[in-house]
Amino acid sequence: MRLGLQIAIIVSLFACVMTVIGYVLLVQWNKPATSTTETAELIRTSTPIILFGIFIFIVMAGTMTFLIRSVTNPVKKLRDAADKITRGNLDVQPNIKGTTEVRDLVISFNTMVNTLKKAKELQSAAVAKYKNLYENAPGLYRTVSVDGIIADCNKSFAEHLGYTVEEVIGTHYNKYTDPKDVEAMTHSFETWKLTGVVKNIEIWLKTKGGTTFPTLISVSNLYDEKGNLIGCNNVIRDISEIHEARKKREKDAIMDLQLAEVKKMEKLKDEFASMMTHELKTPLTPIMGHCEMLKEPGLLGDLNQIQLDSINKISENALRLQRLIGDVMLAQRLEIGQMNFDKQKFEVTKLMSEIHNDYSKIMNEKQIEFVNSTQENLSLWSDKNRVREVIDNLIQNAVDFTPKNNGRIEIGARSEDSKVVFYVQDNGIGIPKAVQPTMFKKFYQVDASHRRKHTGTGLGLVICKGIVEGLGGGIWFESEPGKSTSFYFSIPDEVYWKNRLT
Amino acid sequence: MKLLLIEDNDNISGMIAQYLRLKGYDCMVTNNGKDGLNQILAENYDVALLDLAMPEFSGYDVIESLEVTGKLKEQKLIVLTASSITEGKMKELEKRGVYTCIKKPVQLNELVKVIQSCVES
Repeated sequence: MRLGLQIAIIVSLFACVMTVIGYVLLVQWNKPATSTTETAELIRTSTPIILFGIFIFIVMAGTMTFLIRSVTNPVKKLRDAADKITRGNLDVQPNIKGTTEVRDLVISFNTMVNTLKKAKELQSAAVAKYKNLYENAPGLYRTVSVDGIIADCNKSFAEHLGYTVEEVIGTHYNKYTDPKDVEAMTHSFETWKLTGVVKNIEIWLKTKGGTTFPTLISVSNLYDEKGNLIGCNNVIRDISEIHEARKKREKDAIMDLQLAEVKKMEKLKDEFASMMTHELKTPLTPIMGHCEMLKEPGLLGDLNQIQLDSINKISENALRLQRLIGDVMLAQRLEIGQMNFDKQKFEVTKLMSEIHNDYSKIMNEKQIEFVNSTQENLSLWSDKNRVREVIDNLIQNAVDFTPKNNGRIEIGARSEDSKVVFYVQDNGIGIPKAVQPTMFKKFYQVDASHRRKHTGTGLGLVICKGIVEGLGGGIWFESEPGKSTSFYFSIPDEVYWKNRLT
Repeated sequence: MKLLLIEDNDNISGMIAQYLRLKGYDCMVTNNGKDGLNQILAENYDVALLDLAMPEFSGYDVIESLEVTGKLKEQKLIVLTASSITEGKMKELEKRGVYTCIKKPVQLNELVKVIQSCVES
């Protein structure tokens, strides 16, 4: 404006002076100058001209001022708007009237302001979005400056560690590190300060309550305008679940290893026991063979009665040892599932009659009533010899535990569904309740005092159970102490099952 | 009568051979399967007594080799087995051409009876 006014005044003054000078020169040219009268005349005639000049000056100055103002006003307004924009206010929309050029300038200016405004809106939206993400993300975020102070953190981070955001901000990052990991964390931080790089590091953090949990920390760097590293955003991932899973996997692996080791040991033990019993049995063959040779009249020379008695005792005991070892071997084979069965069809009724006949003589001698109550026409597809072995064992048990007078043993078999149930019942001493659960365990006999009477190995029932289960059946007993004992075992008829399956 | 006893346990083979010799048999003893097989292939024995469980070259190997050479049909064979053998396995061996199986521990007078019936068969 000042410039405009100056121009207006100078131009107006210049116009006035030129008018006056022009007029004077014109008068002087037409009329030769005279002395004082002429001067007075000149002054008289010049007055209206001077007045006219002043008038022209005023008009010119006014016009010029108006014209100049019409240019400088919009410029001033634009400058004010620009000042406002500089101060951050983009809501200015100068409404300026003026010449075409000025209007074009204003339109360009407004377009520029609008573009700026849009860009600023976009930018603040992005910042808000980022801030929202940071604040409310489920991940744990914290911003750490190069001096190790937490400049900011999100709600998740603070809450996860049992603090509020306000409590966390301004504290040192190691306040939240599990003491055992402080050294590792510090080392990583120092490394990051030098290199600007931190890979996913596993660090345990500590909550306000003192509990610790494993995390994976990664870093994104923050720079100032000059590109200097000023801090970093820590992205922290709670890996408790992964850690638990990993621990479980490790534990499982160890368990598997231990189990395999135990199984291996068991197998070695079984193999060793199997070998040992075999080795124990081998010398029995020559012992018994030489006894036989000595006993045979005339073969190695005749023996007197005392010598013969000795040989008989050796022979008897060797036989007992052989049975004992045989039982142990059998029990082992059953236990490790190496038992082989020969299955074929056989007449159960016939087998039971045979057994009844075989024992009749001994039962008579012991004055035991011996009864066979097997069903007629009963047959089975199974291992006949092994079934007989089980019945033999149960009968021997019954005999050993039946009273001398009024003893009674009943054997029998009956068909039941698709199986045959065998039974051996006696009226012996029975099995005390307390020891009933251990009946089918190794080397168990009801009463140690009976051991002298009962010459078995204590493996009889174990072997029975092994055979019966090997044949797909079950064995059980009912006993009333002091009154009676009944042993039962069932053997499935495999023909029946084969027919059912095909 | 010429017998061959193939048994790796010297205590057992000594005892059996002693008994059989006292009973008037000519009894040759080898303590491993390979020697036994060579003896059978080289000489003529009336009966061979064969232990099944032997290290390196077992009784089964001897039987298989005799099968391959076709000598199993000519050679009368009695197998001495451990007591744990199943009926099925014994039957299978008899089907292949073994005269019979005797479970250990062997009863000597029984053994002589079996040898006699084997020779006569």
